[in-house]
Amino acid sequence: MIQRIKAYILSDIASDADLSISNDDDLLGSGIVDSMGIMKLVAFIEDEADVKIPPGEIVIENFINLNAIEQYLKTKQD
Amino acid sequence: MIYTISQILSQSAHRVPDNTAFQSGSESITFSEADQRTNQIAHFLINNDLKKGDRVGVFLNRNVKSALAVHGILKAGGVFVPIDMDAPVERIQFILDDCKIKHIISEESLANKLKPVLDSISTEVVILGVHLPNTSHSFFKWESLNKVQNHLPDIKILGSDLAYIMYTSGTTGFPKGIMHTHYSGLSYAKLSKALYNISESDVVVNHSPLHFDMSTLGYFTAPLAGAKCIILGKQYSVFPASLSQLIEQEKITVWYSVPLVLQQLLERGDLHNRDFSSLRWILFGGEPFPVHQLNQFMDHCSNAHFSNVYGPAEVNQCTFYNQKGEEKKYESVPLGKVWNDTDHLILDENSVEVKKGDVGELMIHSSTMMVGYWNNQELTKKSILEIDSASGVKKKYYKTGDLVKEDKDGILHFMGRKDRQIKTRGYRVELNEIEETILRYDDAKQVACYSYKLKGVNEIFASVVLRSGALLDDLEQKIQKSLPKYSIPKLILETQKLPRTSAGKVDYKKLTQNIRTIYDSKN
Repeated sequence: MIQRIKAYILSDIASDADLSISNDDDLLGSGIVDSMGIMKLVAFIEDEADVKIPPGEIVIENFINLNAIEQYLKTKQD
Repeated sequence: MIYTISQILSQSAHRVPDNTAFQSGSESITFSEADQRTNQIAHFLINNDLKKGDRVGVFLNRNVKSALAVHGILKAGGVFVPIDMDAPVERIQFILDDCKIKHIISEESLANKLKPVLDSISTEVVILGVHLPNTSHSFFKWESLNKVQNHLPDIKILGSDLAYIMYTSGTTGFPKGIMHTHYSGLSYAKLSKALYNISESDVVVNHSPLHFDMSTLGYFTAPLAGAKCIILGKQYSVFPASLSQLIEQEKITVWYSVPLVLQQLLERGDLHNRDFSSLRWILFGGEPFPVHQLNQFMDHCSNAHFSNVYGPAEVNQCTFYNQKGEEKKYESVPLGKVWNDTDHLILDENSVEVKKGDVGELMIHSSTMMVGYWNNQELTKKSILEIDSASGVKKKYYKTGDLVKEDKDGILHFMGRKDRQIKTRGYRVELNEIEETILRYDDAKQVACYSYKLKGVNEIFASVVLRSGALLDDLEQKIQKSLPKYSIPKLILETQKLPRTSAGKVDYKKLTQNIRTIYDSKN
């Protein structure tokens, strides 16, 4: 799952396609993902993982990096 | 009595030593600690050859360090110059060169952004907070401050001394440096503290980058009042739901931002599940906030007063319009009345006062006014109007370039920018008026109108962000019915988001460039 999310960020969100992202890279601080990007990412994850992400859960600690997203998705699938 | 910004921290450290002065993420610092730390920064700069009046670049994220840097530089007698780290390297170089910066305060996490800037400047610079190998500059770790003495350095600083220079876009293509003194900066802090009754029990949030003058509420006013200032990192702009969480958890009492942030909170802030009862004041400014969105926001904060803050960076704030409860009286939020220690004139093109109720350019005379633009006497002269008085001493007014009218209650209303008033096919058109008309329909969430010359004719264009489910065709039909023919945009572009400057304002220049590209490719 996390690999697919990473591939999506690189192909559809990041402006620089040659970028490499590791699982603990801050997606926001380094400017990889902006406001619009987060909305696209949330829609993608909802589709892929077949989960519903309510607005109140689109917060920094759930989306700061790929590890956080993975952790967050685990709680959704439990 | 205090008369310089550099005295703020010492005074509050004496009064409320153990209160939190600044907080950002997991970092926080008390007034007493901040007072000592800023003394150390001041000594560090002086030990590294800073002379009174020297400019110091602040190249920092929005965090506790940025506040310490500001007050430390001022205590050393220096002038702080905020640098927008997201600006193109050439622009940053221009600023460093323009005001001859020899000292920079930064941090390790910004090393990659600072490197290309330093690589291309020829003067040697002293840098605190970052180490970059293979460059000819002098570097000092942030920790090296620990060994520096922590008493207040003995530097004579006057109210009339320069305190900071904020660079904004100039019409010539080069940024212009707005110079504020300790007097004008502290005047703002005192006036805003009094107007919003800010005290040591307040928690003020700073959402603005330091190079944007809205930051002076958090960086000057809050510490003057002994209040806690929470400095928000950039990531909060991306996560409105985190922002609303923080307002609830930290019991924020005073908010200040551009309207865009409040709009994002409305859309994605999960406001129905948040408690905003701590909010006492919500200040917004920088651009107009549509009334229906403001009213929607008010529904979520029953205890809050709202204040529309107006003032170009040259005068910081100069008017306010305060309200509580739904705005019903006006179709757009007024600029309100000029605040204390401020005079205004509304003049026509011949510098003659207009009749009450007529539209003219707003001129401001205030204790919060800048002294001029850095190293640019010509531009300074052009922007200031001097009025004769009986004493023979001329009274200086800043020409805001904003068109206003004053109603019978003495309330000022924004009628557009002088340079946003265009002539098309012989008609005078206010681009702002078109924007407001379009926003009255629920279809559009955000809109920007601009003009571009095609075959010698000023044509009007609009870019809109539509509400989900709304159709551009419907909106176009409504516009056809409500606007005079000559002011109907030639083309309305639908977009996901409007380009913004780093201060969060609509970037009209980018929009116009976009139109140029569209039409150039057609020919």
